[in-house]
Amino acid sequence: MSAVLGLSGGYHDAAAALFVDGALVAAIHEERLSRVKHDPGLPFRAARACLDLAGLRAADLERVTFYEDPYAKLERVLVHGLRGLPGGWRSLARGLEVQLGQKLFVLDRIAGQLGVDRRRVGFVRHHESHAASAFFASPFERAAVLTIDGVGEWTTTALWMGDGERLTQRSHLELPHSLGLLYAGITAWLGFPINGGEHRVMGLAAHGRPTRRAALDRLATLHPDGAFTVDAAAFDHFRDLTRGFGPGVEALLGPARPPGRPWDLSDPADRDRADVAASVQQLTEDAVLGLAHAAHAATGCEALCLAGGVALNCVAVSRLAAEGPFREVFVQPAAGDAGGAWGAGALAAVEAGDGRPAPLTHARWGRPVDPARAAALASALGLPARRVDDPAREAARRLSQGQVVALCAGRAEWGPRALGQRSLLAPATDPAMPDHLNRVVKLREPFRPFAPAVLASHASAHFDGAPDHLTPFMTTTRRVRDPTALPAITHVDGTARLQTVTAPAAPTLHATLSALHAAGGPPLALLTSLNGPGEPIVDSAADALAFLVERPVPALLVGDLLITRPGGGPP
Amino acid sequence: MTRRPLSRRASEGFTRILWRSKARNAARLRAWACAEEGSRIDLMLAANACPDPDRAAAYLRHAHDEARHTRMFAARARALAAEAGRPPPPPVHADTDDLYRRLGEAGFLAFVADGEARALVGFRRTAAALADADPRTAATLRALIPDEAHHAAYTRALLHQTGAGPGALRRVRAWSLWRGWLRLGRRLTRPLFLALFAALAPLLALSALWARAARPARSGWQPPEAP
Repeated sequence: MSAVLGLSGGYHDAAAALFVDGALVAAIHEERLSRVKHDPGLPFRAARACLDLAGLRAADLERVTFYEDPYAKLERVLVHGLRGLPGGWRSLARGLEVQLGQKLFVLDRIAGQLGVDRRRVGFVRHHESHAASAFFASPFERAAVLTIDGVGEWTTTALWMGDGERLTQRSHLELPHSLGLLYAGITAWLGFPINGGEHRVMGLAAHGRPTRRAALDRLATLHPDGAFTVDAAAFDHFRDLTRGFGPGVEALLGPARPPGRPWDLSDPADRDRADVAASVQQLTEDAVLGLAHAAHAATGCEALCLAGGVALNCVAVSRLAAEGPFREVFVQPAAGDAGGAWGAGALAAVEAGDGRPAPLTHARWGRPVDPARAAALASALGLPARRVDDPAREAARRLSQGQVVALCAGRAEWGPRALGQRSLLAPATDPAMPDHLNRVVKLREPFRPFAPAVLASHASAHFDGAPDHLTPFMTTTRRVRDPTALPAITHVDGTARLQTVTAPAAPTLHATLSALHAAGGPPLALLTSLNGPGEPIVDSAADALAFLVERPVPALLVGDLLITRPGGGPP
Repeated sequence: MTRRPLSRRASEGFTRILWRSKARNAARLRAWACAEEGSRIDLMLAANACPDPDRAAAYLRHAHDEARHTRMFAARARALAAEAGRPPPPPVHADTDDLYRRLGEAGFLAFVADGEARALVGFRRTAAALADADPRTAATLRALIPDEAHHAAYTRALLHQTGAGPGALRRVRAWSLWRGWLRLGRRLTRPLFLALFAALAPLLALSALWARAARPARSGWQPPEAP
């Protein structure tokens, strides 16, 4: 038996993925267990949970692979900081303090904490991890691969060729020319957190028009060969990756929006910011399209795999799929840094001779939820709970009555999207539902849209196009055929980030949507992640109960256990 | 009318001096919101780890209270920042010490009981001191006092049930002191590191020249990285 563990972490979105004999056994985000959103630590809880799920001990691991090269990263921090001197000396000092004090010894720490022989702990480069997570998880035997994120060691963007078990880098772009850092900088300028607020910019963009594109074009230049250059000086040379932007951005776009200020899109100042969001979104889409054309020209492939934080920009991916040169596009659900754990593990498995892992067809790779534990906790909390014969029909019945239902079923999801294992469901036909969920349940900005889950067999009746490799994982958007019929899931631009659901991928969700259809309704529902504001998605029974206690949702299904809030009727 | 003891009046006077700037108060309350959020995360981890459903449920209820406290402190921090003409404080963010796993359940209970008892005293003192100067902040603190009293009482009672009582409290206080020492060490190390770094300025200047010449920023497509 050959067991290899891939790990990512030390910056944001720590995760672990375990492969046994080349097959994926478990993949878990550290945040789901530590309850710290986008956990920046190392994924020791997730690693142990993966081992527990496989019934293995750390000593059974043949190889542990970290998702980036700590030595090359130290070199980058040092050289990039030195280039900027005398400016940014504090950032350089801080960066070196972190690198020399912690990150340089990350492999020793992993070995020590997990109890693994240090000689079995290695690393692969950051973008190689991303590329492996994109290609080896895909259904393609041969594909071009694009990895686009903030920055790994030096690389910000890389173009690869995937062929069977081989991944070959063709070319790359280096810091400071980073699409991810540019998007993150504008995210921070808009008052959203970096590495967690980028999807809000994407949602906000649909409310604006790209009227500030000319200003954005002064921050980044797109070249005919697909490469781009970023005016690093405007971003203070990306020396402070927590601030994200510099005075140059404010000189061009105006003063930054203070974090935490409530949004009001009837206010001209906030409308202008929505226009900036639309402009950076358009710039990003154009850049991604340019990269895709470069990848197509370099590889001649018909299929493209994407990974890196920018690949989570489902609007850009949607445009790429529609307008780009590739016939097929694939983005795995954890395309961000967490996915680096999957890629690092897969590379180690291939290197160990275990072969390429099977394509990823569902996201159920986390820990299972325990209904018996939920029953005991509900009883101790004095919450009414009872077993139901058909949880899917119960969920459908409540949805038909206009209720919001929290669904906790089987193993938790891999990736940032809840795909029916730890989800909140609501009627897609209720026009008041988005406002209710945003203001009362999720406590988030009023412009944020909600996504639909639809039976794959009926997707084309409600959305443009047929299900493809992207739609099961919510990594693309589609135009809604009749927005007036589905107001709760239609974004202001007439699109939706849909999930197409099949029984093997999400059994409980599939049964629920089927029951909705059998009852005469459309086979779809609004679906959003089961978490409160600023919290990671629910993982365990205790997390689910805490959600029910905290948030005004009338019912929670944990497996076949129905738990209700006293007095909790329809919203 | 009874006169309050001199020590209490002095303490309240000192508190009023500490709390005289709205901008600083906003930052302080935001820090308290972060502390409450950190406590909520620790309680969630305890609820997940604790095998006994009754105690786990108690931790979940406690976590629910901490979430409310976080919101109350954050709201008051935002209001004070607005009154001071400052931008809203940054969103609340917290990490976890994973106290349950680190200290064991008795240690965790001792830590929480001790912390809640100290918070109770602190909130009472601050609320009294701010009654006239900042009645809204005082009201916020007073609203939390019953919760803090309950948290201190139930964790003390659970600690008593474990039979670990005073021994656990002593161990946890020693651990807290050690943790404080380490934190102080980290705080002291940072300026020392910066001073050392500044002392290396001439070497850094030469290194900067070398970095620009030998490893300039590169634009456009680069050949594949060496494996």
